[in-house]
Amino acid sequence: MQKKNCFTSLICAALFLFFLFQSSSLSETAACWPRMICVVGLILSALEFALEGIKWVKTAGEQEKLWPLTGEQTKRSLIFLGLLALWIAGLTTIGFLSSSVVALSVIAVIFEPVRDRKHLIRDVIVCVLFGILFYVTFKLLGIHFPRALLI
Amino acid sequence: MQEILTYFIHALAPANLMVILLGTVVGIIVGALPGFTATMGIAILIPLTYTWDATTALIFLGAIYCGSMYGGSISAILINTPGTAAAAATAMDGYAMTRHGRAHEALTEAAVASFWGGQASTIALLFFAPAMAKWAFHFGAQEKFLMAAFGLTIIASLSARSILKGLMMGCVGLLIACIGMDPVMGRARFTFGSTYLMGGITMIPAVIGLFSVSQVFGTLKDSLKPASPDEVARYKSSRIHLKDFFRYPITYLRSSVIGIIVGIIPGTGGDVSSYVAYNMGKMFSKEREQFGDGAREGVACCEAANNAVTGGTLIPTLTLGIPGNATTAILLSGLTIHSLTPGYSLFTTGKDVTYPFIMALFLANVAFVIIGLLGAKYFARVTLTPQNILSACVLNLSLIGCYGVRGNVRDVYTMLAFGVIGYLLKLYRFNIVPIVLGMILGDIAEEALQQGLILYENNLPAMFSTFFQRPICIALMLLMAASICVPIVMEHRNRPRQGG
Repeated sequence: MQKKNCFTSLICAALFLFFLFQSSSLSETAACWPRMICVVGLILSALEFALEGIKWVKTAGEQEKLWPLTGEQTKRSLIFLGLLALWIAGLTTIGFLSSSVVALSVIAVIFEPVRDRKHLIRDVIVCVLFGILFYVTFKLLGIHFPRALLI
Repeated sequence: MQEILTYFIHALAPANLMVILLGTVVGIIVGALPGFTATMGIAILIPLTYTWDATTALIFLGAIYCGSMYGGSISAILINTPGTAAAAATAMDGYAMTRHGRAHEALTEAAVASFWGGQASTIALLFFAPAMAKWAFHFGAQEKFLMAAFGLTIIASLSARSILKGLMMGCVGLLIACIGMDPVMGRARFTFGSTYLMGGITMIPAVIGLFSVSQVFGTLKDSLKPASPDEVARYKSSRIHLKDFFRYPITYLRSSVIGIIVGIIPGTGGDVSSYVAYNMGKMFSKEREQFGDGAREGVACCEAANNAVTGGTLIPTLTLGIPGNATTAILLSGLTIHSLTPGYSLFTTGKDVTYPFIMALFLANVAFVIIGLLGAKYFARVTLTPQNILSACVLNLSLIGCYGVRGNVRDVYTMLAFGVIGYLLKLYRFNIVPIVLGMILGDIAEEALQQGLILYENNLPAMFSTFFQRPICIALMLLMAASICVPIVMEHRNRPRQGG
């Protein structure tokens, strides 16, 4: 865990440094507050790095992998991320309802633990119904969905 | 008093009653679902309220909050899976009672104790909040700045596994709040040439991403297991008697007071209050030997305390704009969507919204007893909903919620980005709550800082030196130091014991 904490504190420090650098292009009043945050953030990151680093050196034992997910978990996460990105892209191209119904069904089917015909059909029917229900409910409540190729 | 009665009658309007019932049912379902918190429930349902008037919207969100605190106990008692962190303590005795064939007794006790806890905290909210708001009205820029800083330090230090990590996340939240227009000169700040970022990061998409989308990522990353309906099928509901309401009056009162106090302290929540009340209950109970093995009083302690947190957390939220926990942080964004500003104005010019909302909390506490007990078996069945379908539906609601804020698809991309960030942060064991609080408190802190700088002609050291001349500032600084030091000392004291 110490190795991971050192790694994340470095990432945080880089983020604070980046914003500190960015704030130099701002006026004095606009930069005052973000600069204070960045300095405090940098101090905290440095402290975290130092403390976790000392623990890491002291223990010198087996450390967890830097990337906390297994190959299978990474694959599932990436598939889900891809589906989500496609879904959002579909909102304005094929339509809110159409893309939602398709994406809901695909997500439910892909991540269905029991892969038999009965469960898959159930997933699709439930997702289509819920997709339509949510769309109609919010439409009636006055939310205007984007215009696209389909609904 | 007559005014209070008028607002109570306002809360009893049919439309408000409908909203209370709906919010309570939704809250119980959200609370009963393991892994799905009240925070997520409120975040994805705020869009439902966009077109409603502010009173109805707040009543709905308040009813969800109350319902979810109770809902967590249903799955904790029936299937030993606490729907909320606050219900984890309830599972100790609640599930033991279920194993001994006393599930109905446990559920009844949970409902009754939750009812008393909820009512006590609403009374505290009704009487303490206006006084606190009036007191805070006289705060100067220095006090406001330190109040925001105090809120952040206490939340970061108490809610995170590591204090430093919590504080770092608080700083990240503060930086995110800086994106947009600078409040003094009105010039673009950290927008990187994007016109979208000029309006700043919208709170709702960020919150939905951090809480809901990251949760769905976490759920779907592992192979899902089909749910087993056995435990739920065994439960059969029966009647509740009047004497059930007065079984442990001292326990209800003691646990409620603990819950209210814990709730008022920003950063602590239902889980802390439950364990504190449980331990106190064990100390004073006549049936202390049974604690942990199905003590009805054990369930009473936890449930009265965790429901008493609701009103307690709302006190700093409504009066100071400092959310008591993540759920009230989302409620706070619900307030701002309806153009309401926390503080003294909520109890003066905005009293037509605030008081009916508080009165509705009394009714929501009654509603969840009735609905919860009648439908406990069905609410518990919600936990059997296949995770893949549930996740897909949560995503659909999240998407609609984000899009509905401004009708801008880029908000949905923001949600996705925050979802990925939240997921990664959870993987590396960061607490995401300080980010949201940083985003909320950032504006308050910067506004106060800029006011102070104007007063002291842009002389930051001169402004900071006045902190030591103002009693409230000194008290706040001491509290800040304590909020950082106490958890560190506690951790050091616990270390040898853990090692042994």
